[in-house]
Amino acid sequence: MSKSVSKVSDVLERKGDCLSTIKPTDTIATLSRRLRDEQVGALIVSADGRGVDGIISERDIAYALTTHLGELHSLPVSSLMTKSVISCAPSDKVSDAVRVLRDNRIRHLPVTDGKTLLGMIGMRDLLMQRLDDIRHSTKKVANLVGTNA
Amino acid sequence: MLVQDILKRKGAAVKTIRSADSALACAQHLKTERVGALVVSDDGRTIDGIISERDIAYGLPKYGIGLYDVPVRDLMTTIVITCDPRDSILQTMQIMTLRRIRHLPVVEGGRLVGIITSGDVLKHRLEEVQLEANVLRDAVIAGR
Repeated sequence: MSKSVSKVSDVLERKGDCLSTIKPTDTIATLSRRLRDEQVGALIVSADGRGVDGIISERDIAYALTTHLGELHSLPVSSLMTKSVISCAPSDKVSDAVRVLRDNRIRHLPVTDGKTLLGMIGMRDLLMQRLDDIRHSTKKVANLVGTNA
Repeated sequence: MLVQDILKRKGAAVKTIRSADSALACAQHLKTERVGALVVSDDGRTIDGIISERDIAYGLPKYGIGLYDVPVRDLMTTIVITCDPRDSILQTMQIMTLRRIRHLPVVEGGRLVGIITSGDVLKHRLEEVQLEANVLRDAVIAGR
């Protein structure tokens, strides 16, 4: 049987090993610089680099500007991060991960195996995976048509 | 599947902001409207730029404590990539992933007629794939 359903582990694999975290005690100024330099929309917050303490995104910074104004840049990441983090497992189907993103209006999902952080997948990674799947299935259909003709 | 199919479902409403408005006003709009980006337009029809949560976040290292007072025009992206209602969803997926953008204003005859996001596109693709799978399954069953 050929593998037809993409898993979260496939997305992580194509993405490569690029797990990046920020400490809860780092400031929002540091966070915004890292988001820009690393070209990511969110970072996992982790004091020890292994466990997930929270997640923080560009959205959290933008929203916090409305209440914190000039104090925003010096606030610790822990004060704005989302603590109840929705995550997924490497064995989850990509289609299920997409649904979780949509239903919760979020763009990033940490991937954990039990308690260990394995990586993070975002909307962009899932879109790229979908594009790959489409190319793959198109080729398969073309081959089928070719053999039957 | 075309961009106009997504617009048909989600509607043509596009939230806009003026270029002279402040980053604070922009952040308030993003928050209350629950959108990730706003089209910058002084007359509500032509596109002067686009501003997203990302532009605000990236503005912080540059402007520091004064960020909230910076006008949208100094933070916005001025070279706006747009799409046409007749573009395919696949094309827009490619543009979004290659350019690392999440929002594509839809322009027809020089006028802003909607906006589509990476979330919209992903949702549509997912539904399409499910439909394809169902059709294939039915074809296999029928062929037995």
